[in-house]
Amino acid sequence: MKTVLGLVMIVAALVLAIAPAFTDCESAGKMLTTADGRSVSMKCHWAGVAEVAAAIPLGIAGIFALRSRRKETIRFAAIIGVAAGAMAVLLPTALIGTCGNAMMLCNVLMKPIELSAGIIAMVASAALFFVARDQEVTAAPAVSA
Amino acid sequence: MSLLQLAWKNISGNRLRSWVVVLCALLVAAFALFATLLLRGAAASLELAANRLGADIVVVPEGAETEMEGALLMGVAAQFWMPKENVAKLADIPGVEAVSPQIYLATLKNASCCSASEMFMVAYDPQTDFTIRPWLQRQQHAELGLGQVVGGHNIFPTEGDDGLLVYGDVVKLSGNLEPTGTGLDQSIFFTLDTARDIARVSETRAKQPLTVPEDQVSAVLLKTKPDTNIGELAMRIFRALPGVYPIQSANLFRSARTQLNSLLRAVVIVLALIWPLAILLIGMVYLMAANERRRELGVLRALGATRRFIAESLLAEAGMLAFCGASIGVFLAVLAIYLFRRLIMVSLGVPFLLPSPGALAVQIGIGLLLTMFSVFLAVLLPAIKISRQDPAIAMRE
Repeated sequence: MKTVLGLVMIVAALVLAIAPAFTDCESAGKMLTTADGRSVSMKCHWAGVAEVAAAIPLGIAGIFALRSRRKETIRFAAIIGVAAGAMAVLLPTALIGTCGNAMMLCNVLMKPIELSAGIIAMVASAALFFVARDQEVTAAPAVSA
Repeated sequence: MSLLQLAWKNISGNRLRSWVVVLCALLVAAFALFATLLLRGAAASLELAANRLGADIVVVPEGAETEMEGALLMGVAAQFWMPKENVAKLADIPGVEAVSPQIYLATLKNASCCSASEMFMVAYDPQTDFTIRPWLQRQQHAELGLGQVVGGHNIFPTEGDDGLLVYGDVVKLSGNLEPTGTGLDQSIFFTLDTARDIARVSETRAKQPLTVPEDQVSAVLLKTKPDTNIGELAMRIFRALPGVYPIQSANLFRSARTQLNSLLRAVVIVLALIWPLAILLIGMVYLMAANERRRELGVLRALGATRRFIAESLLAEAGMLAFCGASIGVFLAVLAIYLFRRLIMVSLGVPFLLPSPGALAVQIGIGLLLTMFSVFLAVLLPAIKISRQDPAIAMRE
């Protein structure tokens, strides 16, 4: 179970880091044109870039969940996973946001992907926290010479 | 050991079998709920959009019918024009009680002078309007003045607390309308005077000026007199005014309704395949399990367990797995429909409205019950079969 949940966290981290590059408005060639004719990235692009900051700790927490056998480490990884998942949800909603028009590519595709990856990461991390109770390895008995 | 404890031991004893049952239940619950929410949401949205329009007939320039539907349903920006004199001509046709012109506009694409790119905008005549003002009154919004707009449900201010940038002009967002699940949710509404004011400001502040022709309108909305045959009136309009096309409200969104019907057929076919297959698979899994566990269940019988206890333990085990799978399935279906509703709308070309929390709870409950019933149905036969076995023969084999 711990392995499955660790893998879910790593996949969610990869989705959070990679998906915005292909699903934000800029990936469809849409940029904001300022009054002086310059093209600048829209809000959703920066929300997508910021998702990398949530994806990195989530991915590392997933690796720890996979590799570690100590209950405390797995639980700590689970807490980091919940926090990173929450951050992934908050970035395109409350902290940075996405473009104004609800039917733009970022709102139709990028935001739902990021939110679902964030929610799944949070649920998997929370489950990992409880599963971690069973992961403690008992020390091998000392062998007398 | 209680019934539930025994069921739990059996679940954790054979993880593969348990996962198969959970996955089948998950699939049935998720697909059934997803399809129900989607179809009911689309139908409710179409109904609400047609009601909100409030007109018996919408007259548009000939050839602009699809554009009109696209704008109202999906918020695809549309601009089309016909002579303003048509408004007076339509008002003179017998059977017409009220007429009101509207002008359809759109913000510029990716321009910094507009808060939202290619946003559909509707300008109405407050003197004659009978479609937009009733929504405002129903939601206690005041009459819109110069420079004031009311937004669909998904419109939010971008300039200060209540400002929206439209062609370089900051207009005041006076409020939002209730959601319809259609393109109206991402559109804004204002009076013809506000449209002309925005056009005036846009000449100096916008990347490209907004044009609002004085002698043209986009559509004319008609209310008929009581007892008027709407079909016949539409025919009279078609014959009397060349270059226009009258759309009856009953025929409005015809393409979306056709799309919805084909979607319904596809869903019924897929559900008709998935549901019996899932029941069959769970039944086979439990039939195999019953054969595998013959000796174990024989021992239980020899220790004093009744036939009923044996059957109930299998049903409890299946019930726990079904509840677990159905709950995950329901969660995923609701999450998918909530988050990806706009993608579904764009991909399938149908509008969508989320149900109210009460209606959603009822549908979730029905989904869970349907899945549990399906799994019980699948396990009933193996449970009866194994409970009727003779314990001595079962243990010897």
